[in-house]
Amino acid sequence: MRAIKLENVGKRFILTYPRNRVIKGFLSSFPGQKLATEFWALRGINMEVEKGKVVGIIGRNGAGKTTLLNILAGISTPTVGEVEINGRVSCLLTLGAGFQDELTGKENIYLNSSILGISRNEINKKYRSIVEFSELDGFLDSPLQTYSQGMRLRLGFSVAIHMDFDILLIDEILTVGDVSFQKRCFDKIEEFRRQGKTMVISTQSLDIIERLCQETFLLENGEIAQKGCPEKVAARYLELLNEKRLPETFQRRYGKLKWWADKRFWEKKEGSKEARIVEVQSYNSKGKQTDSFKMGEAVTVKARFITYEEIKEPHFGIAIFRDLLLWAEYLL
Amino acid sequence: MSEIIKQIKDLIQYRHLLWDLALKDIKVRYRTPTLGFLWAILVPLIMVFIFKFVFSTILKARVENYPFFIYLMTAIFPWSYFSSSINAATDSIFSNRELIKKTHFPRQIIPVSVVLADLINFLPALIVMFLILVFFRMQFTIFILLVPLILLLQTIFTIGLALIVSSLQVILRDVKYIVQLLLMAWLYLSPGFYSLAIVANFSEKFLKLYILNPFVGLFTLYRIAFLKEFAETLPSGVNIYGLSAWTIIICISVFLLGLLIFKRYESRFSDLL
Repeated sequence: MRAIKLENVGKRFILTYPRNRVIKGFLSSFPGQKLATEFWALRGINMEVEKGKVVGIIGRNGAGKTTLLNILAGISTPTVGEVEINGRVSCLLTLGAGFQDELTGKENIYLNSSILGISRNEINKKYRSIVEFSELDGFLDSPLQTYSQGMRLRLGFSVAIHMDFDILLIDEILTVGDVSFQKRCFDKIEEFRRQGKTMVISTQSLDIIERLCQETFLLENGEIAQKGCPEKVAARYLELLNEKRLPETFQRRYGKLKWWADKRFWEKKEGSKEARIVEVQSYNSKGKQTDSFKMGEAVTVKARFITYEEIKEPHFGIAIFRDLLLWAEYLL
Repeated sequence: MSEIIKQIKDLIQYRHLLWDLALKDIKVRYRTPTLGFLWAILVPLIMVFIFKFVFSTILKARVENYPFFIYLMTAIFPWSYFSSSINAATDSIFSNRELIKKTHFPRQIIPVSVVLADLINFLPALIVMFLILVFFRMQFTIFILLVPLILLLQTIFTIGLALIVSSLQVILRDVKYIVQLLLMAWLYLSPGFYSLAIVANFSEKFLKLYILNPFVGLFTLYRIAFLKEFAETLPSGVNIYGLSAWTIIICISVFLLGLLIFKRYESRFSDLL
């Protein structure tokens, strides 16, 4: 069965002050008139998602990912085209949208749930579970003003995933929050996938696409530039990034450049200069030098260093990062 | 028509959200001022005192059969519920833009919840009004039982108008100022601090036009409910049954028109905010 179908969907924004919009909108209603300030955020989008599929939407900033998700969520209506959605939609677009600073955490759980269309009975039943998942027990009678950004996030996520849904829309949120929270998000998404929920994930991260998605759409300038299996799309995405000559930081993240092996990155790190690491190499279980490993594979790391004076008890640390420069594991 | 039924169904389905937003509105409104919820009573009461001072003390206006203060109060209290609802509703879509741009729920809930908040706000004032009437030893009649019905009628009318002004304000940001002016003119063109008899004396022809204003009907109905034998004081040009029927028709029509207009502009909100 089909969960989502978009047919020739386009979205036009008019970029002007509200005051001018009324006048220009009137002028543009005459045939043949075109607004100088119009901008098509999406154009000719055709998309079909089978029920139970996990679909990725990847693209650079401003490619139209969020606009597309907003249309899927029903927040925004397309200027042209047809949208067909079969099933109840829940979105992790902006977590805690509609949270009110003046209300307590508990009041906000109820308010947020009603916004998401959860019935009062359903919330009462799930309240304990929502609180447990958010790990905010003890803070729920304090006004939301007193919450940290991370606490709000946890509360928002917790409410959103406790809603009954068939289709889940996720926008970029997996890259926020601390590592343990991220891990729980991923676990939850895995769980949803096993339950056969349809999910649409928008991201800039190839890592997320490769880990989670069965099919991916690459958006560029509001159009679908490539679709298909993640590998195919990833290749095209990297091509696109290189074409566009992105800033170095971006290339470091996604380009073939081994940023961690790049001396310039580490030379910026100041130490006490008693010793200096001059070379780091990693080897796989067969003793072959490489920087890509399979899951569960043993990794040998060899580091060459020079000391300028005698060090009695040297300690070494290795940190391994995911491609978004997120801290993944720390070994000693 | 089927769309209007869907809009109303959505309101019922999302009644918890409606209620939560209205309560939030009230909590936020009264959490900071020192006098808190007292303001719900003080605002209309002080308005009545001001009008009483200007019209009765300075201009020596009189109404037959009833104390001027009481006569004023039976109109100004419901009016303050109406005008504060409309004022708050005008900006309601705009001030809830975070909600609209980021979540999906029936949008009509926002202006309706504003009116609901003002209705809750009006209830203590209504009780105070009742107590003042008791204090003035006014005699009540069976018509007092009409009050909930009149209040319902007024609320339906207010919701309709709130839907219209809140959606138009998104399209045209000038609406707010126009609404403020119209509200002022509207109060002066309603029989709040003068009687219908004065209008009848001025011109019988004008009276026919004048009573099309739904607040002529609403104020008159409130007074029939609160003041003994008020219907007998109405000028001969006013048929109370005709006036009531007209008021009911216009209130329901404005409600439906509000839903219709709101539906028309609703899909553009998230782009225009």
